[in-house]
Amino acid sequence: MADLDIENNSFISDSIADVTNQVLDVEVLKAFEKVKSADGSDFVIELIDLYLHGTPQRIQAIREAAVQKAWVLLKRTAHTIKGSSSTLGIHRVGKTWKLQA
Amino acid sequence: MSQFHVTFKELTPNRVLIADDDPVLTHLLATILKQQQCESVVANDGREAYRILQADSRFRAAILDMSMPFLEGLDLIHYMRSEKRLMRIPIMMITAEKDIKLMSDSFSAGATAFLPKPFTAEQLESAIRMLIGNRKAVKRSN
Repeated sequence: MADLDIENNSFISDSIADVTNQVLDVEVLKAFEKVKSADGSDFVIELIDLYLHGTPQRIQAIREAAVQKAWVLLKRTAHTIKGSSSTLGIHRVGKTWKLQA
Repeated sequence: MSQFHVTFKELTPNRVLIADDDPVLTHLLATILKQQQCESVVANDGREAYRILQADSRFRAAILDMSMPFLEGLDLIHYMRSEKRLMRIPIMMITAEKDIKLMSDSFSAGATAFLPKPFTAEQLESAIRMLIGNRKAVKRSN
């Protein structure tokens, strides 16, 4: 644990870094920085946008599948969330859905 | 009298079939393939991929997700390896599972490569380079 250094905010930033590393492996995203998007836009941002756009829809689909007891659909949708999470280094989400799947 | 030697070289299409229901991964794959001068044809589930393959065999390679709606990746491999016009297309399987049996089943069915998630950009690029460079017959199934 970092020493409390109010002036430099080191305690706070180290704590945030600890939590962030448990949830998101930034190195995985950094590795995609060298991939160039077709139109020159930021490729990592494109991937994150796709993830943020698609995941809430999938979570809703899982809720609906649970109500309808459509277990195969539920498992497959959870599997997709797990896959895209692990592709982007969002390991905690990936592990959570692994437990569910 | 001079002789002319004409060599007919089979043109390998620079098109790759991607079958995956994860838009994050299909975008990633399509972008890396474009960097390697390959055009992507994207199917969002196994049934869509099957329909594309029924009508079109001009693919340099296929990248298939193991678990997809309607038709699994393994079923698509079996189909491709049973069709003469598709059996030479190299196939890479991508899966979120690090499962030895899945890997073994994929190779037994006729997959050329197997890439478990998570992978780095370098690993993916390297696997794709290997896949699209693979022009040998890849039929392994009975």
